[in-house]
Amino acid sequence: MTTGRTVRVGEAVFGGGLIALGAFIAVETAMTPTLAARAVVGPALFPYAVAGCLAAVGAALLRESRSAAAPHAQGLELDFHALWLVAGALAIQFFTLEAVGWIPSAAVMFALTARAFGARRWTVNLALGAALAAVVYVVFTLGLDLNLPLGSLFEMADAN
Amino acid sequence: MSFLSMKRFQRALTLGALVAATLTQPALAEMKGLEIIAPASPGGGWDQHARAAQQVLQNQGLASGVQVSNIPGAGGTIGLAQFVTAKRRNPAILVGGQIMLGAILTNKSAVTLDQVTPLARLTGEYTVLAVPADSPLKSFDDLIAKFKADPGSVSWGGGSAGGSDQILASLIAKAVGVSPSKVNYIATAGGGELLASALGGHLTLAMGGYSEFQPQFQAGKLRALAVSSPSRALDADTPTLKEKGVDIEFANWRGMFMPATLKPADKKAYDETIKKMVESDEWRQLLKQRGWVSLYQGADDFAAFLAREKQDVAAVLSDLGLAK
Amino acid sequence: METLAALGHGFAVALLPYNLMWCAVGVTVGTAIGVLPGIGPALTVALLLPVTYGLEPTSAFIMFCGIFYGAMYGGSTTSILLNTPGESGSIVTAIDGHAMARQGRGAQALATAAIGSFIAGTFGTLALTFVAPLMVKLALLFGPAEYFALMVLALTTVTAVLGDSLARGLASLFLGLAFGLVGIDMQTGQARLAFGVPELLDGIDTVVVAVGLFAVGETLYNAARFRFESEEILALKGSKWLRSEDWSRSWRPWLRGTAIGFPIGALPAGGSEIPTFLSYLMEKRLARKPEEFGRGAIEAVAGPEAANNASAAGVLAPLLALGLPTSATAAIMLAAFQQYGLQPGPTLFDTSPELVWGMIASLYVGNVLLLALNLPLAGVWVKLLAAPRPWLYAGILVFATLGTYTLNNNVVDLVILWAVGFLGFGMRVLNVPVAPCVVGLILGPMMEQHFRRALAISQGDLSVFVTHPIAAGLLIVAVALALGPFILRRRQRRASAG
Repeated sequence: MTTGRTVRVGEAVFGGGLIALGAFIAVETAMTPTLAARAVVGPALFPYAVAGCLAAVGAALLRESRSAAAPHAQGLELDFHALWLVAGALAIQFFTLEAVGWIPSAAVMFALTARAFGARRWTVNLALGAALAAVVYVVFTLGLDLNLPLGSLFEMADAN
Repeated sequence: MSFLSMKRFQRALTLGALVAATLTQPALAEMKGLEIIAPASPGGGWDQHARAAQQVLQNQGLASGVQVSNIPGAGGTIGLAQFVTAKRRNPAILVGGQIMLGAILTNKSAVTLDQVTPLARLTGEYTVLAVPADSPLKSFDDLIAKFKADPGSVSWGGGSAGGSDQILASLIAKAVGVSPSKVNYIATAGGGELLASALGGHLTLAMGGYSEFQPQFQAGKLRALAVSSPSRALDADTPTLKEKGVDIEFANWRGMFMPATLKPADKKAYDETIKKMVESDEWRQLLKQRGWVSLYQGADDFAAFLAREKQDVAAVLSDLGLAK
Repeated sequence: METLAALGHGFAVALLPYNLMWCAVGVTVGTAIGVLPGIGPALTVALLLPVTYGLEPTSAFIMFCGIFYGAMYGGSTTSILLNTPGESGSIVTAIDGHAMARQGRGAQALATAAIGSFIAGTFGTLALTFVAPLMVKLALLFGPAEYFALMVLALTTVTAVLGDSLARGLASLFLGLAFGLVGIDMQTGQARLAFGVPELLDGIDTVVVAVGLFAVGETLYNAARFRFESEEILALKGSKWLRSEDWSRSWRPWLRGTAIGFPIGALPAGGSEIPTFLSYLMEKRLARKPEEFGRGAIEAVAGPEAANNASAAGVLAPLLALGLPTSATAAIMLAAFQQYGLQPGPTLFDTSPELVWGMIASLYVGNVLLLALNLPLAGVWVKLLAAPRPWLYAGILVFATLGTYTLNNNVVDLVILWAVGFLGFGMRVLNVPVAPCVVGLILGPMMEQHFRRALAISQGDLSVFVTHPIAAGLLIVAVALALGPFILRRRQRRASAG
């Protein structure tokens, strides 16, 4: 649940984050040793310019967050449970993709995401996800000779 | 041949046949399920070499079920790292070349060519220095005179920073007594973009593989000043750098590598196979079409060459401040 | 007249039943790979190249051209329906195209994209037939200073997507510029902000960021809002045909998009996104209801899609006229010419007229086939949106991750997608527009490179941007476009006050 006030806090955090990002880019650029190769305009000018712009716009946002112009002044309700479910689904996919292969990892991601949007029947979700992933796998790997990972676990097992 | 390729073609297109069609290949093939990795996007030199090798190895019956994968990025070092770390069931060959050698140093790559087995040097491209047809620079000597008088006024266009073209530009500068750091090098994406800037007269000169520039020479749109080959075999009208008193022979080479875990007996077998590939008429024909020059070396010669080349490239890049 | 005779001969070649079949195969394959995110025509032609060895060169090229044009048609489909642009040229299409799809006007968005692509493809091919050498001559006038000016002009596009708050719009733009800094600096080879991660050395891919901000960010947001807001997605509201209002609002953008797309496509370093940006900007400025932009304006789909397709035709101009490959696909086509022992380059028209004119004629034929294929498909594709929402969103994520992974076969891109998706979620919560971020990411690096190249060549003399007439002209237009609305508004205010 989020009220208007927390959205404002969010905007302040966003503004502060931009200032921090600008400062970070500036420091990182200053710390990178410049190369001997000749260059009229070196590789540092644009990063500094971007850093300055980020800081300036971040400051403007900070000021705005204290005024009444913030968005969703009447509040914005968010279901964080569903949000984390989808975020977790994506994370599981990139952690497991190369080990277990495209079809299982995409199927699990599909099922979790569908659950987050209120589809409760796990078996149906998983079956649908697996079917979609399998069709994609066939088209890409067999049809177009591209390599979606089959899963190193299975490949190893097969080799032994 | 064409029957086989038609069959493969249909397999690639019709999804219905996909599941059933596992191609029956001649049983005598010794490399089964070989994977050739091109550490670059489709279209570039490494990708074209990988696909050319795939085609010839299969058509000559030297291998079956050859797959090409593209793992692009960071001058080939991402493909290299992936090649070294990934565990594979099937034999795999990595395509690479001089640019990769430079990229390993400039990107401070954690994985180097010491972690792979050099299999063969395949081809190379000699670099040509070219100016627009209406340029006041008529010869290599004109260019060097202008360069010595005011190094900054000569803009050298070529491929990526720290790549073959910049290395050659630095070597030339050094040879004529100008500090390599004074070279006003303009890095471009190469290919059509570089040629267009050269044709439009936006650069003093452009550097690149001879075959890529040749059509423009023939059409009289660009003029070749010098080429980095040992002789005038490519082009009787263009002097070599050596003739011009710059003692440099330089080729942007491309070759093949296999994993470091390769057993000596297997290495010998693969070495033989690649030798058969490069000696086939089909490969020769292909080189001629693409304008690639054969610089074939077997596994042992290539390893020795690589050791020397590594030192030379490292020396130039540290002169430029691009690597320590 | 000579050209017409040659073209007539080309049609005789292209319309042979055998070649017609290859053209049909090409456009079908092209549409399919265009719809699949993550793989483009370059990869497809590369895959087919060894396989077509036994074909007649003319037939092979007719098929390749079909693939090339077909991919441009198919590319808009995932953008419009799933908010997942598979290539950078269709990012702009996603903005209003997907909004239309959510309102049940997906069929109209797909139809205006298909017809716009047909018109642009046909006029682009006409231009290729008759003015290619002239176009290329103009294109060669562009040096780094001119390109820089063009990028600045394209950057004024952000003024059309800034949203209601200047500060929030600019925040998004600068974030995009910051993303663009990541990776190896092209001029010096020095790594910037890559933190020792090799996968970051080539920079953050624009498609990953666009898919992350658009598709993943929106999916996360909708998941979080799902319980509170029964947002409606309509597969189809009313007819699936274009209404007469749609026609009257589409035809000018089609033509204007074509006029912008072809010449910029012919520029060797123009980039496929620039014409789509400029077309969006132009349509918003000329629209009678600019407030609809971003909320499903049909002009914002018609114009950029036409621009994208016309620029695809433009890319072929330097390839055919001078043998210059200016895109990955063109580079592969060049390799294909070589495979058949043809000498690409300024002499190609003289040495292999049958092939070149057969190819050009096949582009006309391919366009007709593509329209015939894609218009009926529009009605089929929109049925996807009738899927229950949990499955629809889960499917969107499957396609988003598929496209991202297949770009480089790399899991790191999926991690970036995830992080950018979260950023997109946060931006939606805070009402920060996401489009300026993508514009900044695409244009920032190009602007910087051309700026520094120009100054390296001039040895630090800033006057190159003013003394080169084309550069100066483009910069003046850019300034006028950026400041025009402000001045106009102020004048109106003064007028109403006085």
